[in-house]
Amino acid sequence: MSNNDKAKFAFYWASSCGGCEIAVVDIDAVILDVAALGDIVFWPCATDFKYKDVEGYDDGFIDITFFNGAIRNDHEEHVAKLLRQKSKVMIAFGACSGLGGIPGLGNFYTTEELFQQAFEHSPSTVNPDNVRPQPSYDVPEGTVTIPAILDSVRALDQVVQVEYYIPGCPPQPQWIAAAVTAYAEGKLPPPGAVIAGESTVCDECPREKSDEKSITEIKRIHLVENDPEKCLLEQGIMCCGPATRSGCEAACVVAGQACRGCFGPTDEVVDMGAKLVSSIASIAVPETQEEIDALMAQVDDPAGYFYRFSLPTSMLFRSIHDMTEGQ
Amino acid sequence: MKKVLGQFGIDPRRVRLEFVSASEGAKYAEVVNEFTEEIRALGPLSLEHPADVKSPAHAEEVVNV
Amino acid sequence: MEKIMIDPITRLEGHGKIAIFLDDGGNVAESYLQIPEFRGFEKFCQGRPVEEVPRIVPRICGV
Repeated sequence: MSNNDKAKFAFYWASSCGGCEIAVVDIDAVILDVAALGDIVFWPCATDFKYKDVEGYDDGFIDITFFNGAIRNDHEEHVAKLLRQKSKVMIAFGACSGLGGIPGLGNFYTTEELFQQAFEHSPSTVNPDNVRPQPSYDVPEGTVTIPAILDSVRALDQVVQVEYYIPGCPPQPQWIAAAVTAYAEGKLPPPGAVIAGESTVCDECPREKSDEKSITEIKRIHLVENDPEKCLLEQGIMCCGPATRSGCEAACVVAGQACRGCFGPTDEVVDMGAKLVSSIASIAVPETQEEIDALMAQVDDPAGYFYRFSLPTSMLFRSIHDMTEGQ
Repeated sequence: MKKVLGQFGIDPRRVRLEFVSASEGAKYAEVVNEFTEEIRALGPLSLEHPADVKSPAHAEEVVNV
Repeated sequence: MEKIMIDPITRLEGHGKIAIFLDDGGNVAESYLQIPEFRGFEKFCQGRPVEEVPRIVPRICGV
């Protein structure tokens, strides 16, 4: 730890995959600017600082914490609160910390359902005694502990206050660089800002849109040969572009895959699912209730498309535990 | 929409889409009254909030390894 | 019995901590590696369309 006037940066991963750490080094030469600008005071993936070190820092000692990963267990919640206390600026880095991300899909199930599949039913599991993870376990030498899983996955701002968001799964190098540059020049936007585009993925998508009613059936992308020049949604392929924030240059769609919304909703979109239902409805050919029902019946997993990266920050947050409802 | 809500465990009967023209006052009242009764019969929906999240009870059920 | 905690283990991809218990002579009696990560991919991939799975499971590990 240095005591000079350089800025202090921290990076942390909660319930994540490590892809965000790779995104940090994906900024190429800008990483040298980061190094010139500040010292890293905590980054489990790359440096040897321990939680003890962080606990020893003064409040507000860290200038910026780049926090990736969702909050899945009580330890992650604890570290989020610790880093919040020690940091002047907290950035939710990536889709998991900003929106809940892929781990957030766990909110479609109860913790018990997740455990059952992972520790009992999965084909590769051999667990005759039905052993489950124990938050605290006594061994002859003493007690060892692991974190307790929380009932639901939460995004970072559902646990602590967050100043900025750098969205994406993973975040794109140009926006990380933009955030670092803005900090270096003292030009950070007002708190609450999402450091990415302001329009939708559709606005930066090069595929041609006709704006005419064109969906007659919903198609699965691997079963059709899609026209690379035409809008995927208009070809009947589920695409989350209309509700998703821009800034990725429509990377997936350019590569021939539909958007799954990893940048999260735009400022105008309250709920991604609601927005996407209305987007599809506006270009769907069927008009009567029966025809629409038949069309939507072709969508196997609508909630899984619409809330792929954003279930915990959707209007409903999670499925309701009492699943007798809706049967 | 009903299908999406179904995946959240919400009864599809809680959503109703009805077309009522501005001139059909009586139908409007009828639809609203009917739907109000239906929802009342279904009872309150117990939605959870991020602030409600707690550690589960599994901490207690220690299994021998 | 003295307990040394290495928390978190660093400079690798993944979450973990190590508890090392020392005996009276100061030698290592036992050590435990604890992996605190659980997300539930086993469950939430179920019921998703098969062509979507390659877009979900890369997030098991993104390194």
